[in-house]
Amino acid sequence: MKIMTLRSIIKAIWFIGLGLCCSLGFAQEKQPEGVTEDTKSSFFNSQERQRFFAFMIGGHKPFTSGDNFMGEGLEGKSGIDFKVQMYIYKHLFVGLATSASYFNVTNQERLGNYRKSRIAENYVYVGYEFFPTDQLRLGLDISVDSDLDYKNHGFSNSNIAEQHDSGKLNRYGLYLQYELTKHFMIYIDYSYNVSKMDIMVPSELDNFFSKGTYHKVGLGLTFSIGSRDLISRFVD
Amino acid sequence: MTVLGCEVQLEDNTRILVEGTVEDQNNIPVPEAKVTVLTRRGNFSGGENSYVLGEGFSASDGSFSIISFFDKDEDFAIEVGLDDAYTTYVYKTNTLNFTPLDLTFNLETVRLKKLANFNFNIIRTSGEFNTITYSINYVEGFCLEYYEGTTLNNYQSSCFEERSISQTLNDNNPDDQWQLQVPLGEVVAFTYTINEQPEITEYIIINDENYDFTFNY
Repeated sequence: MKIMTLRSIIKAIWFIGLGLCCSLGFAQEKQPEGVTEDTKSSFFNSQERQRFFAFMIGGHKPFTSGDNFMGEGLEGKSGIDFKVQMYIYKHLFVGLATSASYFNVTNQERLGNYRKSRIAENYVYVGYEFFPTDQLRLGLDISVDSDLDYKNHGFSNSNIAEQHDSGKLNRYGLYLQYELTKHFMIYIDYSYNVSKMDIMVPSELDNFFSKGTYHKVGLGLTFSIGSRDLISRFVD
Repeated sequence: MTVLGCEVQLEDNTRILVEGTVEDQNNIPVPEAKVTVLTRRGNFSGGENSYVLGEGFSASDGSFSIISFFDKDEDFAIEVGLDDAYTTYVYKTNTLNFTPLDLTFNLETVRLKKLANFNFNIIRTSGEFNTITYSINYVEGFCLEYYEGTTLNNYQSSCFEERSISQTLNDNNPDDQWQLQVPLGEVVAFTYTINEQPEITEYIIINDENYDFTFNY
């Protein structure tokens, strides 16, 4: 029930965010007076490259790891990502993401009699962007709330359609964006993901199923809207 | 999960462990025995509509430890078998209201007995009008144990049961033959009466994988 709640919230915030973009993002935005080029750009801050919303769409390749059910029994195939992040104050942002990662089962004896697994990941994250060069921005982020839905399928008998496992995601990510234009970027990203699973298992299997670890390496496009963060819109 | 009439709904967020050791009738470990966790298997030889939830094999020391999905069903089974040369073992229970302690089904020692082919021929050599009535009592090469929770239900179990075949041969049907699979080392009791004379019983020890027995009357 909590999973549905978080999904619903994420969907709702997506639509609210889109609405805000339409109403605020395209509005006339004045630059604060007295700001010179010298004071605007540094590794930690670049006022002229400030933005309000960023939308990311991309794909990734997951790589499982560790002595757990994912590292020992799943092999990553592919995945897709959709993210939106809103800049709260300067380059501090909060984001919402919905992703799907696809895996093949490589060890049925240790996982069960199925061939494929898909993880639906919905999470809220916070992060900060840095500016190493004129056209690059480096983002670091960490998830703060999440839900995971593992859909296990590909059973030997087609009358077993699917089975689900759930969990929470601890995600630590970074990305590098290259600005093709002010509002259009390509990105590469990397994240380390730890799934805290809700699976009930015999006590001797606790360590094996209590968590799953995987890395993701991705590539995608970013569109941004607006040139001011949320707080400065009200303060300045 | 979508609910359709014939779909099996596996328990979400649940895995079970099935463990034990496979040995033959001489207490020798049996490696490579296939362990299958399934529902809606049916009895005896198993049905085509069974649903495999997990499977694996016994190790070189005969031990097995299989991780499987779980299904609450009145027909929940764990089948252990090697090939046609060995008996099959089936553990059955109703999991609608039973979940094992610590989600573990410990079958302890599973006995897979090596099978022998008992080829029985009976031929009339004495000529017309002679009759024989005989029976063959043997041990069936199959074991199904039905558990109510953790208690064995003997009434619903059928483990190495004694079976019997009876026939009367006469002018219409003077000869007969049977091929039975019997656990190696078991004793087959052959009881007969010729022309309604007193009964005689012969005990045959099946000590060869292909045991031929021919009886002339």
